Amino acid sequence: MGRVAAGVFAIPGAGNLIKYVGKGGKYVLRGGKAAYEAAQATQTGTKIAGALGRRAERELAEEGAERLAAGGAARALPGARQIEAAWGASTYRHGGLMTGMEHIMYRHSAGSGFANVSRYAQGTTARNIVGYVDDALRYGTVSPNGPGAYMVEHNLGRAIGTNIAGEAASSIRVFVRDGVIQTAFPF
Amino acid sequence: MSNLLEQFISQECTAYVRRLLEDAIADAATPRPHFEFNRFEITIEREANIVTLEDVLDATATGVQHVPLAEFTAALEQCLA
Repeated sequence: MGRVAAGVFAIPGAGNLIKYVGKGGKYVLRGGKAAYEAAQATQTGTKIAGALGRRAERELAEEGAERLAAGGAARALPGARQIEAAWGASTYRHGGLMTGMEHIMYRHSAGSGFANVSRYAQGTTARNIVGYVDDALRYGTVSPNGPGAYMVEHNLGRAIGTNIAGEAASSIRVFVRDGVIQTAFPF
Repeated sequence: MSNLLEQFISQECTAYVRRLLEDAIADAATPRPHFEFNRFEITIEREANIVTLEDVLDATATGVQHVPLAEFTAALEQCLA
């Protein structure tokens, strides 16, 4: 046996090989420990991610419930427009041919020179008005107003200007004729 | 009731607007009062006993209506509260 062992160690490098195998075993053991710890960390991470995800879901649900409670339905996508209506030009009795937005700014802006008209709040932009009108066309009450004409009324839930009497107004009235938005003002 | 008058009464004639118009009709000092509202312009021609309603959104002939003053005054009673 002693001879066999001596023979083995006589093979060049065989002793080193065993040494390396021994050390490799340790490394394998150490690697196994690292892998275990990594798995533990992954599991912990998964738990944290799961907890965060559940928290986010809970927050979204709470926000949705709050919005529903406040009267505004949580909408994933805007509703479709109820009638065909686009910004364009019309011929007005005073001022002749002009765009709907020009007419609105001319007659219903905060500083317009008309005496008994509704006005948008100071600082209201054309972009704001486009948004109000878009909301009205999607969610407002549409009434026929003669051939090819409609009146759309919508409560925006916040003051957007003043009515004829100068009182705060939160609703908008939009007039559409032949698919063109002719005017829109607070009431 | 004519169509334009009907629309004016239902869409634009609030208690505030009614008071403005009734005060103007009663005020003899102003012979031809003129009012600019959101969609309609109203001219009271007292001597002719005619009220002219103009739809600012309609530049054609259908956008103008002449109504006897008495008919207009009676219609004001149907204004929104």
